[in-house]
Amino acid sequence: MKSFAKKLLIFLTPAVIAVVLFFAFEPYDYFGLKHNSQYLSKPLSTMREVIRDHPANIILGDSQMANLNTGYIEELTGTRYTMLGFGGSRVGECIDLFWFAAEHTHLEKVVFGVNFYSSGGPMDQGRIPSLVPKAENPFRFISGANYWLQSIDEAKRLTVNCLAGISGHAEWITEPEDPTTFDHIGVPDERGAVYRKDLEEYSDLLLSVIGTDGSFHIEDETMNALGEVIDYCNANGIEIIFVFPPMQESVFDLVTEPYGIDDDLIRYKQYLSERATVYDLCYKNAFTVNEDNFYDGLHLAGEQKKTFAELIFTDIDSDYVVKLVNGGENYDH
Amino acid sequence: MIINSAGYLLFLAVVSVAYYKFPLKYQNHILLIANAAFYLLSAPGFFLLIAATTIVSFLFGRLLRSGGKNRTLLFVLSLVLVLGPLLFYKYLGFFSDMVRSLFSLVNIRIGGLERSFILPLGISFYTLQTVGYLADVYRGKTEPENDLILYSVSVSFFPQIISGPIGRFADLRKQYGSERKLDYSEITAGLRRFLIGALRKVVIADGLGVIVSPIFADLHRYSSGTILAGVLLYGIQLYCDFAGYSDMAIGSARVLGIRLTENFFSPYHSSDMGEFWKRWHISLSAWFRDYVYIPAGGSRKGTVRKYLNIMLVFILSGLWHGASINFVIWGVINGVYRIFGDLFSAAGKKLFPGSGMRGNPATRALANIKVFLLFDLSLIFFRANSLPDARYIFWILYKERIQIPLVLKEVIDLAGSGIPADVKSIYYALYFVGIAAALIICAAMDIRINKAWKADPKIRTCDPLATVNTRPRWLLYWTMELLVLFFYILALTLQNGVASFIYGGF
Repeated sequence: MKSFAKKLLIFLTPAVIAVVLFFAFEPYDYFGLKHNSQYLSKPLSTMREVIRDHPANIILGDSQMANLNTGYIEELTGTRYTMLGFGGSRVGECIDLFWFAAEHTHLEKVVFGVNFYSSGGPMDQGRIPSLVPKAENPFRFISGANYWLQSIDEAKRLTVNCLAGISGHAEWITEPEDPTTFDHIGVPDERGAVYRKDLEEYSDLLLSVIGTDGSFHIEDETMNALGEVIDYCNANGIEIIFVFPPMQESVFDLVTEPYGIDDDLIRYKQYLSERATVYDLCYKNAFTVNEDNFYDGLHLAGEQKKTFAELIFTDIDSDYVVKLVNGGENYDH
Repeated sequence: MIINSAGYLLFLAVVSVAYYKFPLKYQNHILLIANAAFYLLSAPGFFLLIAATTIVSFLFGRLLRSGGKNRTLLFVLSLVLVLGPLLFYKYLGFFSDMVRSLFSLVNIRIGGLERSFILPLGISFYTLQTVGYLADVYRGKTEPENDLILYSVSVSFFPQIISGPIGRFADLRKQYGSERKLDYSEITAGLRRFLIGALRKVVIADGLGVIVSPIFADLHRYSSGTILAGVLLYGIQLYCDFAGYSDMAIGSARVLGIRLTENFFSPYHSSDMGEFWKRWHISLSAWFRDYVYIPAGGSRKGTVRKYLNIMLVFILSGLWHGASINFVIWGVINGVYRIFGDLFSAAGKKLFPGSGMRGNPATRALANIKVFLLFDLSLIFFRANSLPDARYIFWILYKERIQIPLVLKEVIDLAGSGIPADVKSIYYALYFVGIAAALIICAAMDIRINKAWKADPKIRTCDPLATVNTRPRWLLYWTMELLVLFFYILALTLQNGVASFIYGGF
């Protein structure tokens, strides 16, 4: 029996080592041991963070919100916020993340970023429900081949970096992108020079996604789903603030106005402001007109991300934000 | 529950511990509970059917002993009762379609029964096993069993219930009737065999399935070369799928101290189709030989009758695989191979002078390739979803020139479908290297099995890894283990669950 058990253990050793290496290199910081969450603008990472840390304050939204630096927000407010926003998320996914967080932690405050781009069209891409079992059960996570491939990819990157360090080839070294850094002013070209994105081109890109046939609208289903979130927050004493992040003027001129989305946006803001607190930064003003404030039509550049955080998380008085507090107010922008 | 899953390994472990913990006299009771649990977990809706088949065949076995003048009538009645469910679930739709077609020739429309029945788990396998038992009792070749528990265990033994090997009761009775003592060397050998099966099934069969399945699902989307690649790869996939299952079943049984009959002896190393059928799905071939071919006269009633009997066996074998004209054609083709092989064996030996056991390696290899290609050709009908699909494959292969770069592109695209772009390069490296490594390991094992079979065609079993030196053997274990782990996880992700067995559908 002893000999058999010993052989069985020896046999299983490579599998155990593989699993250990998997967790050592997996890029989602599943157990929160690697403290590299600043790099992880991924829903699975943040869902794990919710399960592990039970945050009271969360931020939801797409890349416009994900670009906020939670460390800077903590400096401003003295309160820790957990970022559940991630690039490319749809509003339906944000709602799913809200319900996930509500199930796993006692929420006190929710900052919910919304815009026409992530709120229009179909509500959900269905990614969050498929991630829930993986976030809740390590065995479901470990049985995902894509996570293994990402883990091997990360191990390869670190090995190359290590070899680069030893051999002195600094140009080989690659680092994962930090979505919250404040140094994104433009897009680096092949030679490393930074250039500004063409705003007209960016608007064309948005139109290529939403279409130009006038069928892109913010649906009642979306608003009703947000209404349920608001009702839940009101019933459970959770403060919820909806934020409309700033858009560069060109997006108004080339996308939302010509294709009738402005009317939807007004209706959207009206609906939310009647039920909850809304911070609206999405209208033409001196800030949104200035091209230099933006990395592209929707995302802020450099230090303006800090300004964005200050406008939302402090009581600063500014012409760049309209704060409709506690609902019941009539929206007139 | 499926045999190539982590859940099954856990199930086997629990059963094994209970099996060896309890006193020896309760081993069959434990096994019967395990068999029932396995069937209830896998196909609860058909549990009563297998239970009824078992009890009916057991009772008729006893009646046949004391049947007197009515023995033949009882035997026919028992066959009707035991074969009835198989005919109903598997063939009712097929034959009602045929009847409908015949009537439609004279412009008579009749409403037929719909053919969309779910096939009860393992029915094709346990039905043949029980029919074999009844026939043996009827012919006086075996004594009817008095112990219902022992008999039930032999019919429903969980490792072999899904796809065999089809056992003979006389063999099984000896084993289930005797004490099975805990023997770690047997458990080790069983687990080793299971690992070989897992490598064949999870890595090669399921790995190649990623390419093969979409090709056959949508033939018109792919170029002729890719379809040809799909046809060739299917020959490997089918072998590794079924031989892999058999390895896992035989290995599991051995962990429990039961030796099941072998189902494959490296069939693609055969020199001709006659030899091939002695080495491919052996338990089914032997069943048809003993219960159809020999009772029908075998080769005792002249050459014409012999060839008719061979054709009968292959047509029935085709129908056993599935109720469709494609399987009948597959059977006929293999029957023709067999008959022509027999008729022209002398000419064949002239054409491939060294293709026998003593031939040189080059001529032996040529003969092996010939066998693979002939069998693979018949598999077009076996695998195609319909007769028009099979016809289309032949048509496109004849009509369209093969463009290698296009084939490579389509095959690579198929292999990587569903994998995110950012990790595709790593995936491709692991996928192709993994399958290549598994193929090399399996080919090396098959060479050993082939040598053992050539040395003694009556060999009962072969453990190709047992005689490998310790260090390389452990290196192989670890390599196989990691390959199985990776491809298992891959299957869980890409197919949203482990793939079932091809023969599980028959």
